[in-house]
Amino acid sequence: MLKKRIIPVLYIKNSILVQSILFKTYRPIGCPEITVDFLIRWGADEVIIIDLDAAYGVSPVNYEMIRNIASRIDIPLSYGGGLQKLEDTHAVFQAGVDKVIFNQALYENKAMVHEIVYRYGSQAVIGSFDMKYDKAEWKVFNYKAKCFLPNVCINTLTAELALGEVFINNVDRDGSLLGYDISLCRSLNKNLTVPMIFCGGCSNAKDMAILFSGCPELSAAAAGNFFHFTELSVHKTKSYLSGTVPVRLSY
Amino acid sequence: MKSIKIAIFDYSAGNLGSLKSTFHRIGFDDITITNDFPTLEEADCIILPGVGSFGYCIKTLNQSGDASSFFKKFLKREGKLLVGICIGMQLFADVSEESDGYNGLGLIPSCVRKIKVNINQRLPHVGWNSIDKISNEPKTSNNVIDVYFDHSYKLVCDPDLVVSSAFYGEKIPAMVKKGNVVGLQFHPELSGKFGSDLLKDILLGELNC
Repeated sequence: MLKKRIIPVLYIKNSILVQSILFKTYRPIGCPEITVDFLIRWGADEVIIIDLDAAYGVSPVNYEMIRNIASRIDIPLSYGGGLQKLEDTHAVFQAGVDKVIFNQALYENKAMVHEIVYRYGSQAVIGSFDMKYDKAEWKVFNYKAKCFLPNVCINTLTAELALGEVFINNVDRDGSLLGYDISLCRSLNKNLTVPMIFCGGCSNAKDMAILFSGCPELSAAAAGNFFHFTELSVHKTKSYLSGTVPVRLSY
Repeated sequence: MKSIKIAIFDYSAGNLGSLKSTFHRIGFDDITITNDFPTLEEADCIILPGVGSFGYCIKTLNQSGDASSFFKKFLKREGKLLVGICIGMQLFADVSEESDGYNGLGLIPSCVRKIKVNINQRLPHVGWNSIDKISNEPKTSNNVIDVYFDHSYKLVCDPDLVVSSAFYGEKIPAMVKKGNVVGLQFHPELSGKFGSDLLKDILLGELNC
């Protein structure tokens, strides 16, 4: 049976793992390499790395950090941040990344996304969408340009670009510890034809249990801060879920 | 440990970095990443890695020469091994639905077609899924073990060649073996310790299946 995936997200600034709150405030947590070692031992099913400096164009893609993390990992690694050019995207695959995450490029550089899908296959490409609530509806938010993208339809874009997975971030709950927004998850997941990873607001294992029971077709639950502040976080979460949600327990 | 010369085929796609670090971790250091047939020929084991689309990979393989003839000749030689991972395994087929107009390597009589999923299931088949027991050898004995899959297409071949299967909407060959050709639909390099151990056993010829 295919298991539900539990995915820690590591937000990086200046090569340091940070806690993210509402995508605005960042507090340093520690060294990403060491954190990854723990997360794997604790049973993470995949790891997602988002380099915020690279995403916002503050610094170029940090290949050395990616290589360091990739060399110690024996589970899938996805990377997002600053992937605007074909050469950069090839280079992160060479550095050991298994799947790439595109955000800005989905609108600004569709030709590159097409080329990467053609070469590496859809299954290696994840589209990332940051969601914010505005004027009584959920909209995709473009963080770099600081504007809403009211005309973006996630399903249409996913089909057009042949994305393999969709990674949704609920920015309004980022770092809030208020739990996941189940209705947002359900409404987005309902119309998608590819697996979805949902993130934003998780404070404990119970939040994940509520998420999967409210949205049983969801492929993966992701969380940032919560996994980094609790000893054995992933393992404890999976033990808690195992009664009701199929999760991988042998690691 | 027996020294084994490994060549990873470079189709300028593929998760080469990830695969290379796995080999180093499990103790294989003689690794070349190349698309040059004479260099590949010198290896004890050639790996066709696991990220890429069928058409693109076959096109790249054939850029260096007639890939199908090359591999058939290679496999006739004593002590040689060919391992395909994910798309690398699907390349062993005669044809694939994924890319019309390109023939596969024709190393395992088979075709590749899209997985038939149930109404509430999606493709790609991505994540950790359980596979049947691979071997009775204690080292890689697994009753129920989860391994990492990420694909939308499956190999359709003679069931006698299937060593282990998974289930997602339908039965999916997880591991196939025909003589010195081994195909893994899942990613051993991303399947934790079990995956690394399995890869090691395959390379050392210590898998009894």
